Amino acid sequence: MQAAIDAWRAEPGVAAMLADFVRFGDGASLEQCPALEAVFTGAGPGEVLVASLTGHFCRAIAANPLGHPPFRNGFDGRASTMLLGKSGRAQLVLQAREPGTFSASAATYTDMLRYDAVLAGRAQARILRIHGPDELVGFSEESITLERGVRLAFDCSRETLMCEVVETRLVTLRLLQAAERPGPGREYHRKSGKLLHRSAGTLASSRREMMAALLGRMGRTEAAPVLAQMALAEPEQSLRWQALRECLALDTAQGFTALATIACNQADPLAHPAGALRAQLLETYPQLAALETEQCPA
Amino acid sequence: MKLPTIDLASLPDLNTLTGLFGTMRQPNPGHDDTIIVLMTIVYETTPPGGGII
Repeated sequence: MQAAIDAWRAEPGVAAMLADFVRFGDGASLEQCPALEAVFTGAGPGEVLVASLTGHFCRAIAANPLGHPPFRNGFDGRASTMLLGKSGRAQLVLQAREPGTFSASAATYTDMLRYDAVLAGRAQARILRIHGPDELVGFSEESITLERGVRLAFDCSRETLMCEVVETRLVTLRLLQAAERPGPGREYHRKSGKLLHRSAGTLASSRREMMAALLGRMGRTEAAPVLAQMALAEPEQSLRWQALRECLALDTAQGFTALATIACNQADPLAHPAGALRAQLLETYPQLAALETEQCPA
Repeated sequence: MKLPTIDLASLPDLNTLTGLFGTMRQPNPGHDDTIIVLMTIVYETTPPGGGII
């Protein structure tokens, strides 16, 4: 299998595309990555690239029937997805959707850019764009036919693609670039536009949130300074708030100092809930007033 | 100074809760984005390596 990858890497154009993919993962725009851009904007290079990749692997599997291609993959009966590569913030995915009719009552939006190159098959799809405030959005829809040669670009924080009727197996090469600091993913009800669910924007922030909860359950009071730092400096608001709660429960003084700092910074998105919690705690425990920092004269 | 111990359960959550990365309210099998997002979580626990790069 490694020989198949090596042989594919030696094909013309592949090295330039992979070098661009690394640059793209480091945050470059698609326009700054010409070899990659050619795959996702013009018909031809993408088809050639994937045909040679699958050709090398089909021959390798034919020769080694028990071999397993080294790609993370999944199949849920409707769509098979293969993660071809991952570098920094970028992912390159090959996806095949089986024929059938699909419907979804909700649409999810995440902070990433996505480029689709349709390589084979045919499907009727709908681009769903949202507009308006985060809690309640309006949808605008655009119908589109997906077939070989179609190239699409999405800002996934506002746009998504729903494949509704797949006529023949649809094969798409997809390039993703996560935002540098992704906000929470948002799921909206298609009929009402209501926000149904939010999910953490990065795996790392979910992991840290679980770590904070674990330290709290273990009663690790020595972790309080770390939790206070998380509450003050982490980019994701939900994680900051959970770290703050755990910190308050572990070490009242450190937690309350962090809470007061957040409450006093009006530019902080958590200033309002932190101010309310601070007032509530001061009412319940008047002795906390002694901890009020100088930067918070209120 | 003797400070009170604050019970975690008495501390409120934010108005809008945020679930773990990749969680969904309504399952959407076969949906374009979520499968890739969920896949990233599942496979993030496996050792690095593999892929074309």
